[in-house]
Parts: sequence; C-alpha cells; structure tokens
Amino acid sequence: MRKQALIAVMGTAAAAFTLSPIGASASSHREAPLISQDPVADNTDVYAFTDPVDSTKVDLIANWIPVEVPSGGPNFYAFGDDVLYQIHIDNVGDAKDHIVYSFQFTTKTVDPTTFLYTAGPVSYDDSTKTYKNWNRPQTYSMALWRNGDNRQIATGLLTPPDAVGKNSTGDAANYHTLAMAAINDVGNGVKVFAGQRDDPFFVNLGGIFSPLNVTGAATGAVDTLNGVNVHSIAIQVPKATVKGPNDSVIGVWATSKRATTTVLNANGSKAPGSGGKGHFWTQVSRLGNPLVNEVVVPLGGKDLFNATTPADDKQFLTGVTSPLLAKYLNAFFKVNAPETNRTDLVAVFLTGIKGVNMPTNPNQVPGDELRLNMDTPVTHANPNDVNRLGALAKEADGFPNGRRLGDDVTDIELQAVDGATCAFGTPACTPGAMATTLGDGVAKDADAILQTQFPYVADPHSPAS
Amino acid sequence: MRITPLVLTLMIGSALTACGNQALANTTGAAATGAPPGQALNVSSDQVIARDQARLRQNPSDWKSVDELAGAYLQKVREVGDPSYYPKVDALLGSALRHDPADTEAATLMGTLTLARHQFMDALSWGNKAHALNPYASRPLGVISDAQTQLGRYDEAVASLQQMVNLRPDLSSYSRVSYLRELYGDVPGAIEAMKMAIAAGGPVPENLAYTEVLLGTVHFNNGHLKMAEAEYQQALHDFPGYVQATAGVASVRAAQRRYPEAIRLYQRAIDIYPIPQYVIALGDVYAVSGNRKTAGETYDLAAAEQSLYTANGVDLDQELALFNADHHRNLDEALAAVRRAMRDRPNVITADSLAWTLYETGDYTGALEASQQAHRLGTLDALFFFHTGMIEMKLGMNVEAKADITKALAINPYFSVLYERQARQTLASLGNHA
Repeated sequence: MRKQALIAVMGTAAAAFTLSPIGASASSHREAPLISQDPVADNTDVYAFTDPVDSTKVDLIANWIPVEVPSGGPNFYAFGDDVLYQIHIDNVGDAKDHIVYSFQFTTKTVDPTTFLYTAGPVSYDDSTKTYKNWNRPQTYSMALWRNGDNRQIATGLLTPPDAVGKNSTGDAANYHTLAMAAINDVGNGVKVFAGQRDDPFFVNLGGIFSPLNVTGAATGAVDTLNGVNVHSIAIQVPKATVKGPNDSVIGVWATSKRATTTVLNANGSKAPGSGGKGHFWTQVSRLGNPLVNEVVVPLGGKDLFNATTPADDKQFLTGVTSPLLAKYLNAFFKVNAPETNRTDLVAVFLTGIKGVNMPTNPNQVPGDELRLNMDTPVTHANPNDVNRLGALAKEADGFPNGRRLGDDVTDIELQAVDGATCAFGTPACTPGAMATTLGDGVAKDADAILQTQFPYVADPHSPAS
Repeated sequence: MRITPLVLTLMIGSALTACGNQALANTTGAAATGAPPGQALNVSSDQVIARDQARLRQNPSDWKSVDELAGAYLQKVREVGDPSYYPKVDALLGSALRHDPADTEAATLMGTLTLARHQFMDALSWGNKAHALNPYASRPLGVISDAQTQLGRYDEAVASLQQMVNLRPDLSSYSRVSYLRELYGDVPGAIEAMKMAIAAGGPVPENLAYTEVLLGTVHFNNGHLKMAEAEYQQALHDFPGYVQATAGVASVRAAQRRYPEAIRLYQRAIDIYPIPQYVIALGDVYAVSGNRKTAGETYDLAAAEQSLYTANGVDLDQELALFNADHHRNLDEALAAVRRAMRDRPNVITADSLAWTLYETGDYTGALEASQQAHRLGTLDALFFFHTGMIEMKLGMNVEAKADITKALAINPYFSVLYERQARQTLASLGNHA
C-alpha cells in the first residue's frame, strides 16, 4: 500500500508519517496510541520480471517498511519477528493463490546487556556462516505452499545487517560483501535474499509541500525517496516451477499478516496464556499492482482492500472503469482523460492485456495481481538500461506486463489514466491530450545503480557518520 | 525550573500557549532517530503544523489539511502537555464536519479529542459514527472500546476490542488488549499483550517508547521495580529524553526512597511537560521526605494546573476527587466531583475514588459499598485493596482489613509513596489486635 504517491494529484495532503495523536495524559486514564500505520507490516511495492541473466528464471521482489532513513541509531529497521510475510502466485487466472512463499523471521540478541547494534566492525565468517560483531542477527525460515501442500524449504537463512555507518558495517564495498553473503541458495534452483536495500521506487511527492506539476518535465522535480531504504524479500525461481497448467502468465501479489489474539476467555476473567502467535493470522497489508490505492481504490477503501484478496476485487470495479484520478486530472490540468467505461484500465489492473499478459483461462476471475507473461523476451540484460515507460515504450517486458525495477510506474499510470492504454479497451477509448507526456518529472531512481545480478536491488544507503 | 507561584504564572503566560517547546518538538521525528533534519517524509509536529497553517492560509477549504492540523495539534498536546490546543482542535474538526459530515478522519479525531477531554459519552458516539462511515478502519473501534472501558461498560469494551484486534492486530489494538486484561486481573496476559504491542512497533519512535512506558508501569504496579526501570530505560534509549519515561524512572526512585533523585527527575519531566499527574507525584515526594512547605506549594500548583485543564474542556472530576481525598483537601468539593464522575464514567477506578473520598468524609458504610464496585472485575490494583482494607478497619472488620492490606502490599509493596508506610503500620497494628 504505497499510500503517499499521487496523493497530491488527488488533491489530498497526507504525509507518509502522519503523526499519531493520543491525547495528553492529564490523569491516570491511559491513552494508548491510536495509529493507522504499521511500517514493519506495510507492503510498499512488488516487482516481477524475467531474470535478465538467466531467462529460465523469474525474479519476484516485495518490499516492506517505507521510508527508512539511514541511521546510526538508536533505532534500527528489521523485519518483524511477529509478522508473516508472503508472496502469492496465481498461475491459473482464477484470482486465487496456487503457490505461496512464506517468510518468518527470528531475531537473536547476542549480548543482552547492551543496546548496541554492533560490537565493532561487522565481518562475515564463511566457516561458521555467521556475521561477527553483529549483536542483533536476524534469520528466517522459508516455506512453500502449493495447492494445499505446505513444506518448509529452509530455516536459519541469513539476513545481512542494516547499513549503519562506516565504523560498524564499513564502506560501500565492504557493505556489499557483507550483504551478498546473505544470498541464500535453497536448492532446486531457488535463491532468496531478505534484507535492507535502497528503495527502488521513485516519485516526486513535491505536492505535499507545494503544488505538484504532473504535466511533464517539471523543473526541479526531486525524487522524494532519494536516500531512503526499504526491506526487500527477493526470490529467484525456475519458471518451470511456477508455470501454470494453461500458459506462462503468473499473477503476483504480496501480503503481510499479524497474529490476532483473544482479549479474554469466553468465561470472563482470564485471558489465555498464549497470544496465539502463528494460529490466527490476520492479513493487514496487500499489494499487487503499484499505486492501486491511489489510482483505482476509492478514497477510504484502502482498509477494505488490505483486508481482502484479489478474488474480492470486483468490489472495486467501478473505481477502475470510472477512475476518480481521471476526474481530478481533468479538473486540475484539463487533460481530457476519458472518465468512464475504462475497460482498458480493467485490463491493466485486473485482468491483464489480451495477447500480452492475460491468462488464457476462459473462466478468468479479475483481481488485482501484477501479471507477468514469463514467455515475453527480455529487452535489456542490464536493468539500468530499461526504457522507463515500459510497455508504453514498446518494451513488452515492462510494466504493466510484470514490473521491472526501472519502470516509471507513476508516469505510466498517469499516462494510462489519460488514455495511453485506450487501445486495450473494448471499445477503445480516445486518449487525452497528455497521454504521452504526463509525468511527475522524476524519470529514474537517481540515487542508486541497480545491480546486474540477483537480487538486482541496490545496496542500502548508509548514514553519513 | 523551580516550582513557585511565579513560575506558574510564567507557564500559563508563555509555555502553555501555542508557542510550545521547540527543544522537545525537535526530539520527535527525524532528530530522534539520529537522522539528518529535513527528511521530507519524517516530520515533526511543528513542521506539520507550520505546513498545514500555510496551506490553509492559501486555501481555507483544504479539508484534508484541516484534519491533519487538528491531528498535529493533538500530538502537540502530547508533547508539551498544553491543553489550550483542545479548543482549537474542536473548532477545526467542527468546521470539517460541517463541511462534510461523512469525513471519517474528522469523526475519528473528534473521538480522540473527546477521549482526551474525558467526555466519554461523546467519544462513544463519535467512535460509532466513524465506525459506521468505515467499518474496515481500526481506529474508530479503538475509540469505541476506550470509551466503553471508561464508561464501565466492560463487556461491550471487550467485544469492540476483539473486533479491533481481529481486524488489525497492531500496536494500538495489542496495547488495549493488555489494559483490559490488566483490569480483569490477568497480569501475565497483560504483560504478554504489551510485549506484542512493543514488538509490533510503529512509525513514530515516541509511540513505541510510550508503549514501553506502559509495560514498565504494569511491572511497577506489580512491585517489579527492576523490570519497570528496564522498560523505562529502553524507552529512553528508543526516544532519547522522553518525558514519560523520565517520570517513570522518577517513580522508581521514589519507590526506592532515593528522594533527591526522584525530585530531580520529576522536575525535569515537569519542565517539559507540566501535567498535574507529575506535579502531584513531586509534591508527594516532598511530603514524604519531610519538606511539608514545598509539598503544599507544589500541591497548590497542581490544583491550579488542574483548573487550566478544566478551563479547556477536560473533565477531571475523578482525578480531582482522588487528589483532594488523598491530601485531605476540599472534601465537600471532592465528594460532589466524584459523584458527578460516577454518573459520567462509572468505571472501577471512579468507584475506588468514590470509596476513598467517602472514607475521608467518614461515611464508611457507603465507602465499603463503593469499594465492592471497584473490585467487580477482579483487578489486582494494590491501591484498591489498601483503600478497602482501611475502610474495613473503620467498620471493625479487622480480619478482612488485615487480608486486604496484606494483599495490597503483596501486589505492590511500592503502591503509594504517600501511603505505603501507613499500610505497613496499619497492618502491624492489626496484627496485634485482630
């Protein structure tokens, strides 16, 4: 739920970190926080693309914990030990998951007598497969669920430490060595990486502080996410193991879940001794296509979206066929965006585009999934070379056919709403005046260079210390 | 800052106005995480306030900014303890809701505001309204559950909270589960839920630190000073300089009878966040360390501060009554106040305050009846048991009195700076005569 983006376009004004008022405690009356955000469980982006190096494999990347400011302390970012992180694949086209990769994390405190994150320069010891001097190592288990059959793939997988500054995790080259030691080969051609990365998303949220110009190459536009990090889970799997029965289209989304608990026992006075961890998972975040909450889910519908699944997404159909964003763009920028009957946007967000990334299943159920046709050839071996406008720029392996790290989804979706995707509709609509030029003025993630091999996402920014 | 009438005047005249406390505000957001200032998305409440005020000067009907400014003002009260923001918040939200009665955010914040002002019936209706507008939002259910808890409607509070935690298990719902379990006498369950809240964390370091302080207080209330202090220190680590944690450490020092340290820490807390609760606690430490005169002046200051809260729409009937009863002040006024509180928020804490006020006024039979109401959930609150025991003694029920005062000291030997000695002495005298 990448909630910040496009908010300005929609005439709203929420900051990513809205403050969390709980009232003053003038008394013994306890006022616990009432927060609407849960960053550790907040799914920011999902990517799916054919591996540019090995075309027999597909890479799936999901990010959590928005806007991690590089920091030398006192607070450090980590996956939640109490959160179930999942990447779902629908390879049938029925809006249900048929393959689920699940990740659960465990943090250990090596020396409980200190708050310190590190006990000196961190190094990787290949003989013990551990990091030395890292006081808060986090490991994880990975499970694969396939049509009802769940099995543990691996346990005790390494995550790298956060980049916390020169004295602890070293310079950029040193940190890179540390991080790459946490690429785990879990057999059957599957690799996995989980840890802090540069946030590959780029967007100009200038509208939060000043009127946003989305009408093209705004001067002075700045990537609001410059210099901040996220936590990524990246997996590389053989296409053959995720391919469905009918075709090579996979629909991907990620979720996070937390354990609910019983307030009190039914008979009143005593609560159960266990919080029920691992038993009653409740989905608190969901994400497939980028910016879905800003572009097609109506205002106030985000909570419902996060609590439901792709099979429920017909509830948002009106938001897709008559997107509010088109009305706002027309009102503010006079771009003649078609406002109704947007069957082309149904293709982009809910079904896939026929002949490109739409499942061949004649009984397809629409749902918000990031759909990738794994048969589409890769255009660029180096992910830094992609045309940011993806499929709109005739690179068929770009968004909305899956999503590459360099795809400028903000501009693609703005242009799509103004009619750039009209031809995919039935009947085709008429594109608006700026269907090929709308944009937030930020064309790439200028603060980082993507890696040219798995996990592709760039190393995180380190605090200047 | 020395607590004198002059200082009080200064506080009311300056610090307690909209200008706030820059030093503290700067500890929120980016600065607190050691990050460079000016990160666009990691903003302090002062930045949000300035930004929204600027926007509203440009466009007074930017209703999102109206809501956000109201929320930032509420956060500001949290940071500097200044209730004069409440009328402003009320006006902002009122205008937003006149413009759009279906503004869920404004209705939810109205719920938060009315909770902060202890107007719990109003809070319940705002919570219900926000919940009807967005049944999938978690915060309205938190407002509803908090209001029901304060109104003494515990079955309903449990049901609303179950709905909230099923919808969204997170810091907000887990910490409320902890409080209800504590009220129902399930201390291990309360500790477990508060640990879940802390593990879940939140986007603002202060929220995490506040939850750690709450866990520290559960430990304190059960006599575990060391575990309490560990949580307060963790909060100070996670949110350096945090006033609530400073006050927590002060309470541990007072319990340890390290009075000069306790005084210094309470004063540090009050310098930043002059709320009556800390000023009363400071007065109590002066009182037990033999400085009666300063204690009296400090209590006067607390009383003056309380009137500042009531002037800004905060209902302090229960708190005022307990303060007055505890310090043998204005007992007629206290009784009238606590009876109003029993009408407006008939919860177990109010029932206990009523019992103690009646005890002070000499109505021991009435006091015992109120005390039984305070025990209706089985809350393991040492103060409740001490009050009950003292009342029973006056009624000649020495066996019961001995058992209840013993229980108070067993739950928390440090339950009250003012009364723990009296509890021990009373118990000793009961030992001879029971």
